[in-house]
Amino acid sequence: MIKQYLGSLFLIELLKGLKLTGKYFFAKKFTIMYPEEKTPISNRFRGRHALRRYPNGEERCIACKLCEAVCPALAITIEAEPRDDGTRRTTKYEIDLFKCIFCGFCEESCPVDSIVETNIFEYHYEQRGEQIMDKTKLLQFGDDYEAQLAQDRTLDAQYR
Amino acid sequence: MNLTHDFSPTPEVDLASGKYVKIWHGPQHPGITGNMSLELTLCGDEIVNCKTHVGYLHRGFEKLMERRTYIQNFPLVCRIAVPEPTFNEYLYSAGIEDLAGIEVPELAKWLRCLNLELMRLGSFLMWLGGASGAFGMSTVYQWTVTHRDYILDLFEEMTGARIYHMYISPGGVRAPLPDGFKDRCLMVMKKVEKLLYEVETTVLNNAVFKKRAIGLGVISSDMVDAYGVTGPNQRAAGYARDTRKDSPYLVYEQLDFDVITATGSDAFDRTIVRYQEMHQCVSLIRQMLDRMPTDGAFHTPTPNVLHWKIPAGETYVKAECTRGEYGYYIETDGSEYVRRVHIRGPSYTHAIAVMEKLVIGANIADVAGLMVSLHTYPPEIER
Amino acid sequence: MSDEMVTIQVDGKSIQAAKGSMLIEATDNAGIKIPRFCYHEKLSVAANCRMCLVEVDKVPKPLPACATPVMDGMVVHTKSPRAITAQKGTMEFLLINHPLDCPICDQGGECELQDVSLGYGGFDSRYVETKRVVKQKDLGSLVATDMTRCIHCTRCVRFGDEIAGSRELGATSRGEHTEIGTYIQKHLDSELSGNVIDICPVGALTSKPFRYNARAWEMSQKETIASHDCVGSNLSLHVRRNEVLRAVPKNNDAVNECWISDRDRFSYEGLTQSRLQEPMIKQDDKWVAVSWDEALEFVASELLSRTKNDAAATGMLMSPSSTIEEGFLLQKLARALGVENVDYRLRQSDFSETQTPWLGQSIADLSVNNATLLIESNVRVDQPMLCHRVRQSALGGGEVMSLSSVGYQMNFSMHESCVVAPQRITEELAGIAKVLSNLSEGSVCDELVSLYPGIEPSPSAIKIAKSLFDGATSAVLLGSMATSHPDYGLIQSLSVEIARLAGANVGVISHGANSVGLNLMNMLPKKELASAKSFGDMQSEGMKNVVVYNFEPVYDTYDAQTCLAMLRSAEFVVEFAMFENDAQKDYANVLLPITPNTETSGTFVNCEGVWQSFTGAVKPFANSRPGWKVLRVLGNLHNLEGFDYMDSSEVLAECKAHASELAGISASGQWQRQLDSSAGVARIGSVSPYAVDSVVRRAAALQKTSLAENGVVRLSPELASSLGVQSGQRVNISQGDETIELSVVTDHSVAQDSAVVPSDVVVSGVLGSLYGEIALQK
Repeated sequence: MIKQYLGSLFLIELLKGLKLTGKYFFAKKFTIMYPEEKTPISNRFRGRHALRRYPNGEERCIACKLCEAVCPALAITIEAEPRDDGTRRTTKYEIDLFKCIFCGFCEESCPVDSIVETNIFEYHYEQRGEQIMDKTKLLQFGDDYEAQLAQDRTLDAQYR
Repeated sequence: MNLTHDFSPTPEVDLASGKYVKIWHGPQHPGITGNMSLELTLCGDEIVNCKTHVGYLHRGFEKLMERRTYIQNFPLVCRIAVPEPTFNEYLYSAGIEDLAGIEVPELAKWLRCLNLELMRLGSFLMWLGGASGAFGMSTVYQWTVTHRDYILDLFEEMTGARIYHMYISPGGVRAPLPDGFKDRCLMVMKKVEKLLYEVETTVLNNAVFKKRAIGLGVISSDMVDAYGVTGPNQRAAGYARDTRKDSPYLVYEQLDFDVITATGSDAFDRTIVRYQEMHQCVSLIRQMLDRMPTDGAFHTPTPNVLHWKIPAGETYVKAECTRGEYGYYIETDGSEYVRRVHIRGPSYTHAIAVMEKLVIGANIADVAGLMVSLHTYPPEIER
Repeated sequence: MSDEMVTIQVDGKSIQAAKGSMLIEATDNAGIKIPRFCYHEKLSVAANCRMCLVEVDKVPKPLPACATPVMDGMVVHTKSPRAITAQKGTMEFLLINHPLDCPICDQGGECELQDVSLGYGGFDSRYVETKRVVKQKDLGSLVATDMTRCIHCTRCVRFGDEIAGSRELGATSRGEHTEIGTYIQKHLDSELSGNVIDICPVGALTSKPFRYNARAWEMSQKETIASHDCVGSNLSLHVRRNEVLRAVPKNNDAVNECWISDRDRFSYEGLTQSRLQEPMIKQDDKWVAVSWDEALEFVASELLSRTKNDAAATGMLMSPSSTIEEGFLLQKLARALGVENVDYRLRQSDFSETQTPWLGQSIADLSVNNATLLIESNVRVDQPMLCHRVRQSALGGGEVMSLSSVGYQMNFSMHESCVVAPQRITEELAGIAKVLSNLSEGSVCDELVSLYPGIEPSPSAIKIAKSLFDGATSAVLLGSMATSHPDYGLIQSLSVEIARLAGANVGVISHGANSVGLNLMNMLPKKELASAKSFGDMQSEGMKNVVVYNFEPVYDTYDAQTCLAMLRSAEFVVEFAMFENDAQKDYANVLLPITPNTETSGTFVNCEGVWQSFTGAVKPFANSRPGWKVLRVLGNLHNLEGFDYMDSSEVLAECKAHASELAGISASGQWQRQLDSSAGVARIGSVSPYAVDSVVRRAAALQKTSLAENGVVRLSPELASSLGVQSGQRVNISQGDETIELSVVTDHSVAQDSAVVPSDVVVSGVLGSLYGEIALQK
């Protein structure tokens, strides 16, 4: 009790605190200078979507619409019809990223690993309507990040 | 401490006398995570009357859930309490499993428990920053939020998302731990522990903090049951009650921990209880990482989630979250949709009724500190 | 099956079952689920899928529930380990050759195999050998195939045999090489072929127009009533984003059981083709789109001023497929304006008959008649669901006979088929009446005797008369072509006479979906008012002002030439139309876009007199509006009393109060002959089954089928050889002052000196009356 009183009287506690904060003044900084520096991203990270292709260039999506059905935010809209060669293909594949909650169900439900979530989280829109990712955009993302996507999926394959 | 609470209503004051002034504290206030407001009547800088107002965050989750399939609800529920979503995920899943009669695999139980304790630690860290900030020590806020970020990094690895993990799904969890997670987690625990000692030095032993927090907002022990006070707020009043001990769920029975109590029941003691519980969290996480099974199923097969019908029934599941007892009442009618969900968030009692009583007689400058010391999240009040 | 009941025990529960019934029927009735693929309650038992194996006490092996008759005291276990093991084993075998391509299969999400395999299938396949692949088969424009998915339940084969009455599909080869197909490459021609899509438990047979369009879970199901024939089949429309994507049958044992015709199933395709989008007014020979307010005010003011002076020269014509609400409101509006010239009988030429054209019995009764005489009726393609019932009676030993100008191909064997030229139909009927009068020892009425003195009954007439007389319950049915016949009144009088002598029911199979309802609503000139003009009078006398409600005169009238002439010479024509066409732009002054029955609420009264109400499944297309609402507002704009309805159910309540009870069809008193037997080549103007109304005519897939029979004239071989033409050659056909070119099909079943020139969708010119004289030229 007396010790506490003396501690308070001579500002010992305050000085102890100041010493600690003073130490941080010289310590290595926590700060990461984003965007020059970035933290590593987990291979499970769920970011913006992409549609993948098979190595021969054929789009994977077969318009089974399971992603559309499972999407809890109703962000996916698909329309399909037989393509000229008779196969089942989408004529419209849209994801509204304003609605999307990035839960990853679409990826989980996809029987052909077509719709995937990349680890891209840095993107912006300038016009209303740009948030709707159409099939061309999604396939383009898939082409752009295929190497990364394939690597992430291989890393996590044992847990799927 | 056994103070007697005066349950009589607060006397009306004559605003026309010119002696009092009425001010609105909120709804945008930095001391709280989410929007609510206090209508304060002041005499000088002493508060003589308080009325709490909520309704700024009502999103109608309980009603929304009645129109969504069981699987569509699962990513919805985590949005109910922003800084601590996992408890909602766990309780929703536990309720559904209870009603559908699904047994969760052993590994999933450990993963869930680990997830919940990490979340508890992250949530406490955020609170700790808020608490020190409210008493004027904003440097600590920088430290704790940085350390919370380390935990979010762990979540990202484990679940794929930092805030809304959508990880604990009905039937189990969505993924096992990635390679090397244990080492990284232990490293973070070390960092957090170091931070906690530093916080002890700078905040808990700080004379200014003590001066302001001791004796502030005393919850008398007869108030605890009358107002439904739970969690650290209750334990700081001397009640050794903890859902994890009293009705153990997941793997808590196999873990070694004690219920932490204090006697002061004021803002300071509540801070001390939470501080010790953070140490307890670290210890629990270490125990779990040590004893967790490394393989096995992490998810039970469920029926086709698109047409999942759950037999009619009702259940109440509860868990100890950072703020107290969190509960889900779920009623089903055999269809693909839930009949009714009611969510019991501890902030409901703490932030509305208890707050109104405690703030009387306090200083206007202490309102923020008092509010933080109760650890309330307005989003879970109105859902 | 006898009425005797036995008691059996299933899963510890004691249930009652009719003696001789199969176990699966008893469990279905008791709500106990047994998985099955080949069993279908409306088809015979095949017991070839083995999915319904159950354990029966004191029997060494599991038994198929669909082929095990119940016996008193039987103890059955459907969920015992033994039964489950047997079912799981069957499932594994069924899945050996199934491709498991659910993600690209149209049946995915509504597949019986998928559902059952979720409960009984294993998680992994033990079968590592190559799976069997079966070539795709082309079954025409309606049914798409993926025969690799077939599990050989033979439901489609049995359906063809037992329901459609034409065995188009069959199983060839054995064992693993078994294939379902047509053997020789051919399309499905049956008018009921679409039903195989429903009964196929897997995705082997799916709908071609619907292919890959949507998933079962995306669509919402809306109930409606089919609008293309007088049966009023109950339908479920599957709707996604305000678009009808397909139609499937809704079970109603009194009307369509669980089947529907292809026409009802695939006509949805026409709903959105060339729809009229905006109200339009012709100003200085130019069409201008206007707002509804403007259009309705224009119509109201014009009608008001014109009917004030010329009510007698104003006519209102309505399609027989309009709802009862529309019919009631249109005649209410007309009569409030002093206009008595209203009619819905567009494909008729004899208007002497005003009795309600109904069946005189229930649809279900048709399947138990001992003798049925079909007069001028191609019931098989015109009303396939009625034909299904008549066929049931034939299979049950009843005698079905026909008297018509074409020997129609039926899907059952005819007791007697009497083919005569159209002008000789009445003569044959008189002959039948005469034979009956001898048989019954009664006497025919004097009018008949004076019309046909000293008639000699043909052998066919004698046979028909005998059969009708001997049958305990017999029916004389006037086909929809008979109602078009110029001697309709006389045919009906004769039929009533025959029915009286034979103790039979008389029924009329009318055109359109709601002839019965519109008749009940008095949407036709009142008989007691001599000045009231029928459709025929309107055409012959000419009208100054005409309201055309929901039909296309080129296709939907008895005599398109005359009708068009009347409309062109009229001063003011208001057309309520669903679709755009060239003709309407020529004669009309105002076009008001209204909705088909999928977009409005309404009621049809079917041929057995049952009122079937429905609500709109989708929102009105573009700026079109439900017809009853337009008529209601027109009533308001005329400041007429009693047009303040809030919804269609209020109109319906008034309709119900207005309607009289259906009574048996009695003698009409029409004993005049119109069609002269001295005519040269007589046209038999049937209506192609896929050209009956404007929606069906726009359904693309239906038009590609062989039943659509577009651009074809059928000639008897004698007539063809006298003209010097052969099948496949083109002939010029002139009627009135129009000539069109059609390709020839020689057909033994067509009466001599007659030519079947159907009213179909590819009309290069506008022909005249359905039964009229035509000239043929090579």
